[in-house]
Amino acid sequence: MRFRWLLVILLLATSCSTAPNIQEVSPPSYADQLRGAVFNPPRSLDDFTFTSTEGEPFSLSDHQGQVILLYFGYRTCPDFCPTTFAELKRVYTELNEPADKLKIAFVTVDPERDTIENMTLYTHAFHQDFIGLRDDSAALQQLMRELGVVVEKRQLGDSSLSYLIDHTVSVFLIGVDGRLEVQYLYGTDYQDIVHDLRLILGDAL
Amino acid sequence: MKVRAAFLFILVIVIVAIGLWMFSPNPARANAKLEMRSDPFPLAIGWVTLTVAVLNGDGQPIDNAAVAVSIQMMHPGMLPIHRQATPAPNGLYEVSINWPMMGQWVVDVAAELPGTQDTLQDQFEVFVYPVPVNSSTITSFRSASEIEMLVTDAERELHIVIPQGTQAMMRLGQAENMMPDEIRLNINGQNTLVIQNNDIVEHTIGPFLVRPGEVIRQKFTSPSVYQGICSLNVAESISIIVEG
Repeated sequence: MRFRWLLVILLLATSCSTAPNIQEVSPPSYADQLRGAVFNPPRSLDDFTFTSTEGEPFSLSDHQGQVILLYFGYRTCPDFCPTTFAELKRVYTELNEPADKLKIAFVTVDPERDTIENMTLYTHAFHQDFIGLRDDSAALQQLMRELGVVVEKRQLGDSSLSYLIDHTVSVFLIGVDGRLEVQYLYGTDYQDIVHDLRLILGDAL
Repeated sequence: MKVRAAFLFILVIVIVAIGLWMFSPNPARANAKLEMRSDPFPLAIGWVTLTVAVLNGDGQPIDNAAVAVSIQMMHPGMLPIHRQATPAPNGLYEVSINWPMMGQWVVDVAAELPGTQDTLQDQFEVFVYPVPVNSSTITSFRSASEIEMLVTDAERELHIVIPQGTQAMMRLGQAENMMPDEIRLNINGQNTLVIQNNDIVEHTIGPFLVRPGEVIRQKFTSPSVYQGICSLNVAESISIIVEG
C-alpha cells in the first residue's frame, strides 16, 4: 500500500515519453501563396544574351535583382500572343509600371520574320517599357529547352503569312536571383500575376 | 521513520527526473530523418554501396545509431535481403549490396537511435538499371516521408509522383500508361495539381516540363482545358481538364 503512490509517480514519469514525429509538415512557405505553377526548387537557368529592342544586348545576368516575365511568341501570331500581352499590360499598369523592378520581355520564336525594328513597333504597341528579344543561335534553343517551350511551324497553303507557329503560350516568371520560379498558363487571370508579383517584390514595389 | 520517508522521497524525485530525462522528446530528435545515397547513383546491377545519413531535426548527424537495411523487389515472390550497415564518420552508415536484378525495388531503412528506444524508419522506392547511367541533376533518393510531406491538402490536391526509372521502364515496354489520356480537376473540389519527378530524366505533362527532383504545384481557379505532350503516356499526349 505504502508504495502505491510511488508506482503512480513512476507511471506518470514513463508516460511522458513521446515518439519522434519524423513526418511533421513544414509550415507554409512563401511559395505556397503563389497562384501560378510554382517550381520547387526554383530552376536554375543558363545565362543568355539576346539582341534587344532597347538598343543594347539583354542578358539574364544583367537583371539580377529584377523580376522578368518572359513570353515566347511571334509578331504575326493571330491569337495567343496579342491576348497574352494585353493581359501583361494590365499587370504592368496595375503595379504602377515598376520599370526598375520588373521587366516584361517578348522572345520571338520567329527570328526569320521578326526583326528588331518591327518587334519594337509590336512591343511598344502594348507598352513603351516592354522589351522584344531576338536570337537565332543555339542560345535561344537552350533557353527554350530549359523552360520546356515547344514550337512547331505549320505551313499555310493559301495565306500571305505562309506559315503559323504553334508554340507554348505560358508566361515564365524569373525571380530576382535569375531562377525560374513560376509558370503562368494561358488564361491565367492577370490579378493572379499581380498578386504574385506583389508577394515576390514586396516592399520593392 | 522520518529518515526512511525522506530517503524514499528523494529516491522518487531522482527516479522521476531520470524518467523525464530519458523519455522526454528531444526537439532536435523529434524531426530526425533518414537520407539515402548510393554509389553508383542511380543503382545498377552489381555491387552498390548504399550510404544512409541519420540526421536530427537541425540537420546535424547522429552517430552511434544501429542502422539496418532491407531491400525487396516490387515483385511477388521475391524474398527480402537484410543487411546491417557499418558506421562511418558524420552520422553516415554504409552497406554494400550486390543487386541481382534490374527493376523497381523498395529499400526499408531502420535506425535505432543511441541513448533512446526510438527507431527511425523510412522507405525508398528505387530503380536498378541494367548498367550504370549518368544522373547529373539529382544525387540522392527521395524517401516516403519526404514525398508524404508534400501533401498539404489531400482533398484538394491531385498528386502525380513519377518514380525513378519510369522512362527506362517505358522504353523497355514494361510500364503501362503512367498517365491517363486526361486528368480532370474541379475548381470547387480537387483543384490543385502537384507533379513530383523522382526520375533521373525530365518529363513533360501537358504544359509542364518537370526536371528531375522538381515539384510543380498549380492551383487552378478557373475552368480551362490544356492539351499537350505527355512523356508518361504511350500516346504521348494528355488533356488537363479543369471544370467549374
